[in-house]
Amino acid sequence: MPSINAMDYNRYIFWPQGLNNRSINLLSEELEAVAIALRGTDYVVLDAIPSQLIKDEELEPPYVVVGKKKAQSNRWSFTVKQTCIIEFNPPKVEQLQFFSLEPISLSLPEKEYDANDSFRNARVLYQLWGHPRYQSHDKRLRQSLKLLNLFSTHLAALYHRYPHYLMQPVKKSGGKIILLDKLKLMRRFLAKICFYLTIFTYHLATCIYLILNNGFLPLVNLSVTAQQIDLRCQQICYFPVQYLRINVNVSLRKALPRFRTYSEASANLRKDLPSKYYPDYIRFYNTLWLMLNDISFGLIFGSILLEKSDEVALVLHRVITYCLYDCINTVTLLLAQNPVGIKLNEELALFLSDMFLWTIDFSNLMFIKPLANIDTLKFFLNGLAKMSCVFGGTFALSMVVDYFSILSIHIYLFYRISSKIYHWQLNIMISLFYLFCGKKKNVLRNRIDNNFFQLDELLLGTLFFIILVFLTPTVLAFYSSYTVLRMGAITIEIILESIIALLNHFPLFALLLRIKDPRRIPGGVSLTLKKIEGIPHFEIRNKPLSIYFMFKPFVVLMDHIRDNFYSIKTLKRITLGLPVAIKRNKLYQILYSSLPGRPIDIHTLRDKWEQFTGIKDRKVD
Amino acid sequence: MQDHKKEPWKRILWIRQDYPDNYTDPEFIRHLQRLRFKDKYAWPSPESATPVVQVRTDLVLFYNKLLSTSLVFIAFNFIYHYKVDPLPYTIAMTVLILYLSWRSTRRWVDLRSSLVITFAMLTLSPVLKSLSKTTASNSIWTLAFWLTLAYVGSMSPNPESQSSNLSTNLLLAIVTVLASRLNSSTQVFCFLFICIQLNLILPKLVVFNTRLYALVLSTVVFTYVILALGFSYAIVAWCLASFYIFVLPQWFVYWQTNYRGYEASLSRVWECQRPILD
Repeated sequence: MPSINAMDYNRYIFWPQGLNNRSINLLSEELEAVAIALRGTDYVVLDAIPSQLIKDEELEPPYVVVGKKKAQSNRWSFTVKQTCIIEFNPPKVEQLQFFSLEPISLSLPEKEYDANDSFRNARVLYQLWGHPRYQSHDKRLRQSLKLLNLFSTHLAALYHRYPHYLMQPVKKSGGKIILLDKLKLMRRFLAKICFYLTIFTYHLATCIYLILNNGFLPLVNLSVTAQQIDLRCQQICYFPVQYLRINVNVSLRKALPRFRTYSEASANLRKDLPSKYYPDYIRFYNTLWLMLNDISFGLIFGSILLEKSDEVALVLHRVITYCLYDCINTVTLLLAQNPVGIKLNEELALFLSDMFLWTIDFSNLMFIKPLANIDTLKFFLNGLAKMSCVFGGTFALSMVVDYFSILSIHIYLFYRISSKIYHWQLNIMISLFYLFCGKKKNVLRNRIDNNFFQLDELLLGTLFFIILVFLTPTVLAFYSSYTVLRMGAITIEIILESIIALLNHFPLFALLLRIKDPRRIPGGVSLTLKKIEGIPHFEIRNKPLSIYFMFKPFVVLMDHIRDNFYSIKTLKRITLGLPVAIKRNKLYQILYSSLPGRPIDIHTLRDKWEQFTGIKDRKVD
Repeated sequence: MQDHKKEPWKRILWIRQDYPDNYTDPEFIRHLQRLRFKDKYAWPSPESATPVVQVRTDLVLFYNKLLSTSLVFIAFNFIYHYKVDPLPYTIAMTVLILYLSWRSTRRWVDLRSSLVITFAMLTLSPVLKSLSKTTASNSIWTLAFWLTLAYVGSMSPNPESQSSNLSTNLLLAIVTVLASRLNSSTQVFCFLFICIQLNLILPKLVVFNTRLYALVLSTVVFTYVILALGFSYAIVAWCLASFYIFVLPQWFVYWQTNYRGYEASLSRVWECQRPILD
């Protein structure tokens, strides 16, 4: 039996909680705790084995006896000095439980976003923590946790090495496979069909993705529906990759007990721990669940809509005509007639008002009247209901958003026209103000220099400046009222799009996992003190992933939306007359955290496939 | 002899001079000593005070500007109230200005820039007329009053310097505000033209004889005041003007010789430099 030398001070003993019952059950026997310790790890007790089974032979190096229990006693005496017992519940690998020091990431590693962009101090602190100097180099806990995660494998390996330690036979779970073997031919045929179907779908999705993202007219930026289709295509393109990733690892996991050179094997196996492929598993099933969920929502939404389409069409007709035509018409007319006692320039106000009224009439004739017609609305609602039944609620919602943006296109036009006029005016006024102060912008050096102006220059500049100053209130009145309208339209669009985003990217699977089995979704470990007298006993437990962490992409998105539309920065842009536009593709990219930037190429996929089948072949050999 | 070859010390920090850092100008010490020996008899003598003529010239320059400003209102009143057709007067004025400019500089004015300005004004006069049309007349008078105050305040005291951009802007603002009350764009154009000529161009041409100019201007303004407001107002204004021109300079010199302390005479020569903020 290898003796424990002086180096082994201060090494902890990890104790499976299952052994506590065992020692009570086998009260009458003398037991010895057999532990495994690799280089750089603590002792992990694998099993308590009756002393008479061990006596006659020596254990080989990775295994040591760390504790003994006398017969008729419940107390263990440990051979390691100054130690702590850390009790743990062995994670069941087949149920995808594992320990992890860091919270597992639900998004792809290259798509991690920082939630608190604004807190610069916190960011500096994080940078400091990232510095190697302030990081712990003691990797023992990490290594030991890896050992714990492979507990069942190591236990099986122990029994394989010393079969006579085995007191009860291990259950074999091979029944299902035998049943499936009988249907092998059928299965192979089905698999072939599925394979070709998958490849076909994959190709189709890639084509649609490329059409939507073409360089000339990226539809994704223009329409929410296109964006929704694009998202679905990307998801479909990514499914095979995810499936392969999960299954390659599963096959490896099944092959685990075959490794017999234990110490080296476990070192090799570390990288294939569940934590490696597990986020993929969560992402894959999350996407699937969300799609099904979406379709079920769509069914409900669609059926309600079909039932009530007549009433809804009538209400919508009235609301659209009132909000998007009558209301704006009134506002524009009012602006021409000195609103709220503010004396505007009559000629300019009349001109602008007439121009906008023509635009309103045009858009009314072209869009609002035909689109908000009751029959058209009924037709649209019917189509919407059917679409939502087939493709899901998000699809219907995104069509609603697109419909709304077509209807409110005149608001966008007004906003752009008035902001352009305002921007020009502001720019000219700023440069004339330099003239006013006897200064001039030096473009070459990008600074403001003193300049001596001739009388004619001065007079002309002053005339224009005075005229522009007197015209400012008029332009400002139009600009501000249309900006308010535009911001209202943007708000409606953003609310609808947020609902779509929620339906598309809700971490449903992760949340359900957390409810069902918190150990399957680790967000770190916690140590609690159980007993202090004698040798201190701790218990190591999995901390489930925090809810905040699951919703982090949404928090980031909300931050971005607030930054883009409702912040001082936006107000500054509005004051300067710069456009405030929805950069849809950029904004919602944050939520695509579980998708790669571009769909993975079919050749790469084939390589992966070959790798996968290659491993399979090796396994069969 | 060596000292004579040296550049005389200048009271400027930004050039490197051939003097030690703690160098003190002997002139400064001499000045201080003279003040100390004289002690309380160091009042500036009448000779050292500013001459009355110079003070009066400065004051007359400001007086001229004030009168020019009042000409704006006189012109406006003629066009707005008395419904005088301003076109012949404008032409006459232009001819006069051309003649004066030819006399003072012995060459004709820059034709291109004057044409550009004239046509720009011609084009913009309908716009200027409509700029503040919707505003009530009372607000216009108030606005014009405050703008005039600001204009008088912003006029540069130095006669040689270019009239500052701020005062030009304010003058045009006054004209724009008043122009909205006029009936036709021809009137607006003429009004603008007359105002610019009277306030910006004419003062530059008559630098050679400010007193004569002041006399002519006063005659015009007082005649108008007598005609429009009556003798009582004219007498009050005349009293104020004569006090300003004849009494005030004497009084100033008297105050300078008798009431200003010797610190002032020191700081007049060795005053602390004001930083030029840019």
